[in-house]
Amino acid sequence: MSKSDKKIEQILSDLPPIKDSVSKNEHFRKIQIKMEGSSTKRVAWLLPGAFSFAGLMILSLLLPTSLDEVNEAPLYEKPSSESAPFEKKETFGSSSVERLPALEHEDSDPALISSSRETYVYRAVPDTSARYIIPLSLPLSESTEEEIIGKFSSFEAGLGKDMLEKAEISIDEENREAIIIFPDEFEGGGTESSYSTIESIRWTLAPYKVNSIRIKNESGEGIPFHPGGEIDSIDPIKEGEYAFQLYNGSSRNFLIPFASEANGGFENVLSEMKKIQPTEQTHPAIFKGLRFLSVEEMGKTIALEFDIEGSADREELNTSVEAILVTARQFGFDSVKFEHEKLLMLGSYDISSELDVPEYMNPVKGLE
Amino acid sequence: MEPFFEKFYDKYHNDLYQYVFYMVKNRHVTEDLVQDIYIKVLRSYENFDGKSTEKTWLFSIARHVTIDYFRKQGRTRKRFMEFFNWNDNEEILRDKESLPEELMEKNEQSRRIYHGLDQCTTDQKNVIILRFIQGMSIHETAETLGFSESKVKTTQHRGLKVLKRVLEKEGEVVE
Repeated sequence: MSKSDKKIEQILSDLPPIKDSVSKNEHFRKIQIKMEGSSTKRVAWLLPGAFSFAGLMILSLLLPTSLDEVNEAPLYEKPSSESAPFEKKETFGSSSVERLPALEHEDSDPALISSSRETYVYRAVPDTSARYIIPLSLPLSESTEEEIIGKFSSFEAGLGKDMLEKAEISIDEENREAIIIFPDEFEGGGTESSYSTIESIRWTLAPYKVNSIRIKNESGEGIPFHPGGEIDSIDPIKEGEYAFQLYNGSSRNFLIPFASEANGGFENVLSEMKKIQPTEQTHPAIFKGLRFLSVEEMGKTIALEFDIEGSADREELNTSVEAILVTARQFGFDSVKFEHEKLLMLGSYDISSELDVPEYMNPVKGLE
Repeated sequence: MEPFFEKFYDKYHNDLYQYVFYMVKNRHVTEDLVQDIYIKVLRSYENFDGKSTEKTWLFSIARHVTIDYFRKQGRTRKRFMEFFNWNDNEEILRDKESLPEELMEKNEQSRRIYHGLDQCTTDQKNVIILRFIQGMSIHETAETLGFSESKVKTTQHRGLKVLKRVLEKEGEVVE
């Protein structure tokens, strides 16, 4: 043990005892009140609680459009600039920064992860090329899930066809099982359509952490997909299966999953996220100058000691933080502690304490 | 008064209060959390299996209650528009935290270490407080936190490193 450790230990052990100004009797009185209060509250809570539980048990999303359109509709459809709800802005020199208009007025809301202040219904849709799946969070605000899903247009969001438009999705929370029911006439279609449908289901259900997904038509039969044939179940997203990259093939940025092949801890996942091969529509979400000096898994928290090489704009750093938080959640962590010799902020994030991982990602504003 | 509560209070209250206070650094929150801890103890003592000591069992409950508190706080975390630099903003940040009067009488180093605890992760803070403010052994700390003894040592080492860095930022040579 070093001399400096000894000195710090000495200072710590000399920290003074803090006096409790509340007496034993007063503590006991308050404990009694709390205990009585909590048992009264429990009774009052039971009824609305039972309703909300029932509401969660069966989350039915029944939507109007015909799925036959899926195979006929063009796979690539650019939204017109007038109708697109999102706008593109040039800021911070040469960097292209895209933000939802709502964020111009709500700087406290993260751009790529769902805010803890909101409740959401979740959806996943393919991009217009049907190569990538975009998981989305649709804030409920005062609306019901059905109302929000009804207002949501994947095309207006600059994305491809919502493959689950006519599917009925039920979640049995008790048994952690999801059941997807398609109309009898529905077929999975070709390879792209089948891939988009299956992955849309998996990512729509990812936040609910179900153990099994059953899929059938109204007559109870499995659904034909290409090239695998008829299937009646789909594997849910597993912990540690995916990391995240940045998708910018639309009118705004999204975080999208890619299958992680990293072995041997989260350090390698971060390295993989930085090195993922860019394409025309996708890029690494972590700023290349963000270097991780140490990565330590401490229970459900991942501690990342980092430094920054070169200069980055705030949005690049925010995207890095948000991609790491989402990926940390996918790997089963509850929080991330960013540690830097000097910085207390990373982008717009206060990193003086641990950051909780978000429920989900890619909030879509303007539906409320 | 419930004799069971009285027994626990007389035996552990002072230690429990110190632990929670140094974790959350707010008297009102500490009082509230300590009461919540007693409630959990009163409700679950019959499940105490005696595999650990009564004290480490109590502190493991205390740890969970404080972590729950931090989680709830974390959900209301703030975002700021600009980078903050520790050197430039240290005074502003310090002013936001009220220093308990007991620490007013202590020297500057103690005050810096007190503030520096917030630079540690929750696990590091837990280990540092249990080991050096509560005076628990490595074994007791491991039992309380549900860690292996080697994890306690590693976390302790990292926590002390953070605190050393805090002192060094002040221009102090820590030897």
